[in-house]
Amino acid sequence: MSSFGETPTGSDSSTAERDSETLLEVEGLKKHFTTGSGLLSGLRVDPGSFPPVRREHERVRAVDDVSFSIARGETLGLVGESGCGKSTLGRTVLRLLEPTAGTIRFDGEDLASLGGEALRRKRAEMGMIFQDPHASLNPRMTVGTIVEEPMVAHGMLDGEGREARAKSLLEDVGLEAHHYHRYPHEFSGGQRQRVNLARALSVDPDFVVCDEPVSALDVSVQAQVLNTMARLQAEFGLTYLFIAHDLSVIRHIADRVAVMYLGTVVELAEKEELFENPQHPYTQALLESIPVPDPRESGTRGVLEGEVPSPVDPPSGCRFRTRCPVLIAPEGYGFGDAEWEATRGFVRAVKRRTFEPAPAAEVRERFFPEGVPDGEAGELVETALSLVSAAELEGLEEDARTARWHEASELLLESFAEESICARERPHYEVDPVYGDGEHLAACHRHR
Amino acid sequence: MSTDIRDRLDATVEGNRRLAKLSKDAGYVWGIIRGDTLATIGVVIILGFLFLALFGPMLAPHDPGDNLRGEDGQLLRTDSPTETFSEGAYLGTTNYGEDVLSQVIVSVRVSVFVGLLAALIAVFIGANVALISAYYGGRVDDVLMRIVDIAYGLPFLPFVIVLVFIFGSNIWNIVFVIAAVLWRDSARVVRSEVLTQKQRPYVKSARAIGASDLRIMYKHIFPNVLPLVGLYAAFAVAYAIIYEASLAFLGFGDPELYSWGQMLFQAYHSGAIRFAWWWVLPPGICLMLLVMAVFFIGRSLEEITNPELRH
Repeated sequence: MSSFGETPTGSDSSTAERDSETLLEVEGLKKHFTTGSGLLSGLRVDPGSFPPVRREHERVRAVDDVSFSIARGETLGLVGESGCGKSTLGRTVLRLLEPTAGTIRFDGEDLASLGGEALRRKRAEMGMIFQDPHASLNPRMTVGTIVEEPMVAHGMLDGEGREARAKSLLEDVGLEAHHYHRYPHEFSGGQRQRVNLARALSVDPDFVVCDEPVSALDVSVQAQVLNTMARLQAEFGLTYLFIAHDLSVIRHIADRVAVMYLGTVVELAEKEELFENPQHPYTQALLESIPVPDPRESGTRGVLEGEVPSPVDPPSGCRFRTRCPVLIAPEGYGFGDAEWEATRGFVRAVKRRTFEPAPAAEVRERFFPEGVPDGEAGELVETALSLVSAAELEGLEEDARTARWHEASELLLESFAEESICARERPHYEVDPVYGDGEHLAACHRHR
Repeated sequence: MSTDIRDRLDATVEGNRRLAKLSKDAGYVWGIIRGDTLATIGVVIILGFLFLALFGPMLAPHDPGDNLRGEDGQLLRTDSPTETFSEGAYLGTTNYGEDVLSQVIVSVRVSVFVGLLAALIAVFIGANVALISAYYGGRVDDVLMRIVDIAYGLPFLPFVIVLVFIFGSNIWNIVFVIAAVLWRDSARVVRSEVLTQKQRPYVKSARAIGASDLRIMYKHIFPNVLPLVGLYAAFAVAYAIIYEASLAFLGFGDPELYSWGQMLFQAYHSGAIRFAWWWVLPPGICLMLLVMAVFFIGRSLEEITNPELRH
């Protein structure tokens, strides 16, 4: 993946030249968490095998094979719903978490292979701003001590110099020098986040990871803090990795945007391109979910069905396929577009048990008003229909009913969803941008 | 010139703020104690005992080792206060004719000294073990906590008897032995608190700025677990006093010092413990009062570390 030249912060030619330089390059980054760490955790007793005791850990694939790069001076926005791994990605990039695999090339040096004192020293070049402005400041330290902490840790300046710098930084971030002696609880949320900002900047880093820095703030304060951050970026020549779940915040501050879903980046493009020409169905759904402040608009917001699958056992191929409204039809059945749409709806409804048991004819009429597909596909659908029809389920215990539903759902998923290219291959495609000339990556098989 | 004045002004402001914060914290603790009648009584009792510990030898009417004799020249052997009051032994005498009141007053020193020092050492060890164990986690945690488990397995008396037998019974050994038993409680409880503090974002942000492990442990986390450490120190003081008295009562006390446990030991050995109430009650009541006072204060301090108790 290569970075690109123009960024809004590069005002004159010399900075523009510097901007084209890649500061951070992440490749194949994975962060898996194992559940349980004790001596006996993860032991499973399985009498059917030998030896009858096995040891296995569930692996939560919080970040699974993510690659991107950030040019010096630019802001890469990272969006996704909660739990998609964006914060984990941010922390792993800074090596606050140990990556499971992959490289993090920062200014030419691989952070993933650094450790101990070398890594600690490297932290002088990186900063982080956390989401909760209250909890991320030590309640028992004065603001002055907090801002000076990084300088002390890296042996920068002497006592007086540090104090002078801390005071000038406080002014830079929009506070006042006399706040130096105050304690964090004496400040509002927005002010505390400014203290965080001053601390992150105190050792003059090149790169700052901002983990939802404004999401805990009042909306009226968010814009002020964002503008301060943008101003400081230009003044200090900073590069941001800006994590947020709020698309309007991202639109305000980012140069390029990466969209994350279930531990993977599904789309990455320049801001305008991504917002105006989204190519991944998940991105499209996200953008449609932004409320439109127009009372005459109604019913146009796309709502995704179902829930995010567990990162312990993510779907094969495309991570989004279990909720994708445009899942590609499996080859070999000869589906027509309308037929496949009806079948897809039926498969999901069976999987989630979203309809009450009814006679097979009624269900058929509801999901396949134009008749079931022909051939093998039709036979499979009929089998499933009869499995969950009222006649079959009548008089069965709840457990047996659940087993029926499960059987029908397995049959349909295995025959259709698992056969789709979306389930078999991990998508990774480059799309021609409509806006600007930056790279546009979309992880969707429709672009194959 | 003007910057000089500003600097001095700033320094004063900072000094004042530190002082203000300190006095605010102290005021907060005092407020909690004031709100609890038992704790207030505890503070008064402790202040009284501290006064006796400091000035005891000057206040005692007799030398605690003096063998008092009556007007007839006879030793005042195990006599009740009614018989010895006129002789100046207001609380009666021991079987060697020693003044009980003077012994009780002089003994305050040992209890307070052992109580404070043993508790301080115990909590110092416990808090450090806790910080290291919880902060580093993993194998370090496993090893240190297994050592704590072993410390929990130690039966107090046999352990102490063996140690005192080996090292000899002087006050320093007793302090050391008591601390060696008491550190386990604070180690385990403070560890759990460090574990929760460790997950707080301020610790993560400290790591993100490149603070060293030692710095994070002692500069960032420690001040935040200090209230709990203080609470366990208070309880450790109470336990140390009880343990010292128990040791002395069993005859393992420092033979060169007067202490309440020692007095009870002597009363027991002279066969007077069943009838010489004037010899048994004063040290017993003093022990009870001191330990209860410390517990009362500790109990109300618990409110600081456990806000759920505040209603």
